[in-house]
Amino acid sequence: MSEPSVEPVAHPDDALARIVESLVISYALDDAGATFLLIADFPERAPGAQRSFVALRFSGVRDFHRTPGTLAELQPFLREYALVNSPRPVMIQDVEHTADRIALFLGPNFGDVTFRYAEVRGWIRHAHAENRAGQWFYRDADTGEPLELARPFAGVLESC
Amino acid sequence: MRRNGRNPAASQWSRQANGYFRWQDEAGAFLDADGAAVSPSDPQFNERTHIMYEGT
Repeated sequence: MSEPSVEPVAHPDDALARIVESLVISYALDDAGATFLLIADFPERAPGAQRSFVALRFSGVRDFHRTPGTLAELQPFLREYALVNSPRPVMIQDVEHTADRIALFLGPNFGDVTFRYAEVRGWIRHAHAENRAGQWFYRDADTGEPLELARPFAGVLESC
Repeated sequence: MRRNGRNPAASQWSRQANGYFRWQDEAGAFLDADGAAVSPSDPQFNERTHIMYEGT
């Protein structure tokens, strides 16, 4: 079996600066583990890859605050959001962060997410895309393993 | 002005300097330069939904 092909992000701060204008695939706050996992499109692709994803895991999360946006249908998304369950796609409009605090601005429709954290780590996964009968299917660019757009790090992130 | 290859002021670089915009329809779908909805599952989603500002 091939090795999982996620690539650790050497400088998560730089990755945070690059995900502005990226599509949010999902985010989830885990109260028990005090972690916040953000998965988004990543603009820097490996040569030959058609799409790349980034996962940023914040640990030691506290003071989580969700400021709702103007659109009622997006207000129910509080501690969790997933593109597949959402009535409309959401973009990262801006990121403000210091060493221990981050604010994710997800547009006036969705609102913002802010919290404090102790540490952030990140991973990138590159994918090949194939269109079959109008539907897009993704495979890991290195191993060829199929991956779901809704959960691009399923099965590989736990081991990191 | 649309790019026609004859106007040096409408080169790729000037368009990048001018910036881009994104637009959405009422349902929240992001649209490409021709007004067609782009599915978030499209690998070119980012490229297609960023529309270079080309002036008027």
